[in-house]
Amino acid sequence: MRMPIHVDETRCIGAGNCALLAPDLFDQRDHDGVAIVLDPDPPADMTELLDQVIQRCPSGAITAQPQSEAGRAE
Amino acid sequence: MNDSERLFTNEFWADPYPIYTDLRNVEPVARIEDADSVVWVLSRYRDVRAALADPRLSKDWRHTLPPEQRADAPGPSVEMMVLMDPPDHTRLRRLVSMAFTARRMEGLRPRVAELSRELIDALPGAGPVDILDEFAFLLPVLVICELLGVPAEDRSEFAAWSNTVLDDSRPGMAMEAMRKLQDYLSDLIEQKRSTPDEGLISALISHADEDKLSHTELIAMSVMLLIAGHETTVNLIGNGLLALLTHPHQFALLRENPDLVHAAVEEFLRWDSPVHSLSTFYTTEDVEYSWVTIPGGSVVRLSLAAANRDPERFTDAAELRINRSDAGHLAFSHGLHHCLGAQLARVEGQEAIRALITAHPGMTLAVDPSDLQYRHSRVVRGLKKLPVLLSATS
Repeated sequence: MRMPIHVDETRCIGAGNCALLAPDLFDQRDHDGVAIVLDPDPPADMTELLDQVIQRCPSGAITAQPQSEAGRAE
Repeated sequence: MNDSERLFTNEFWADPYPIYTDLRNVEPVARIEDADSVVWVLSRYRDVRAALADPRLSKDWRHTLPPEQRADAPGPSVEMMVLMDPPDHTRLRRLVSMAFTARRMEGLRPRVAELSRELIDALPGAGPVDILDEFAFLLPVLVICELLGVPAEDRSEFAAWSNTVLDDSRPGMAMEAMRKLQDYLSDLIEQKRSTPDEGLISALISHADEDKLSHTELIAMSVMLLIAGHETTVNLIGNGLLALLTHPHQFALLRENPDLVHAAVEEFLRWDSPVHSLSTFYTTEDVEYSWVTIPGGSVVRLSLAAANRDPERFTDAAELRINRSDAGHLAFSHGLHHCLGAQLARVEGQEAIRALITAHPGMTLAVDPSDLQYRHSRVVRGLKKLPVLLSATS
């Protein structure tokens, strides 16, 4: 299932919990520490890790929505 | 006596955990009358965590005033971002968050390890050593001074002021100490203007010159970072060391598996949280937690340490388990005000403990644990002294 990861930059406080927990998925911008998604479409075996990261984000800035058929249309 | 009346008494300073258990079980949303004020205290994990992310809880004290009085009331007495809501909080936080990223702090690790080793090498060779005074306090102070560009030679002065700001027993002196810190940093800022360096204060001065923060906000930010660098990690190291020294099996486990130090530090943070509670939350409207309504305009205190020992969240919550691998603790808070220095604290805690038990694996307490005394602070949980014997032959 596709899980495009999204960071709401207006909520992100640059805490870096995501980058610490899942350095293959997240990094932080140099100039303000805001989270960057390195792999917006990670493999399904990272679902559990991603769930933990979403939980641990102190400001709830990270979401990963399962894509429906309609949503995948580009 | 109600459980809530036992808070901040001698019983509490000595051992708060039975009081937290009673609060969670009996009065999870406790209304406390304290001289002329009322404070609501939350202690359950699910409530504290939700409250920390609840937009109806503000950091702006003016919500305690009737609406018609708010516009004319002054902002926070010290313009620290921890006392502000968005958008001011957001603006200020963004100016410093890049200095504390996970990667930047990881980059400090070798320097922190080196400082740890130097401090340990300088410890006295024989007799009891107050490991707080001689090590646990010095390491975070030296690191934050380097980071900020504050001269470490002045540290005995501002260390004393910083200590007084958080001391519960002398509230009048706390304000005086805060003023001294503000004056000291104000002078330092002027020096840095003429002779800038690579430190964070110089970087903040550039931001101030671009009007991204005011002069008073600049001073307040510097004071906040200096106090936070002094009063918190010392207690992570101190409380963590005490945990090891009073739990020989856990100490042995860590000696045999030094890579567990990262997990151990998370467990120290959970089991004996250095910042035990956070105050200065104000309800902007009536809010309900655990079936109790807290009226709008109320002052709320959140007990991080009580939440971190909640058996509803952590299996065998009262047990120290350094390999627990469940780091959902709230010791660094949660929500918008999540500790800015969390990654720095982790690196310092990990390297300090690692270096200390590598150099002195036979360390023991030099006193009976019941003789240890805790500071009286409504914010930090920390010992006054931690006398140890570095080895069996000390």
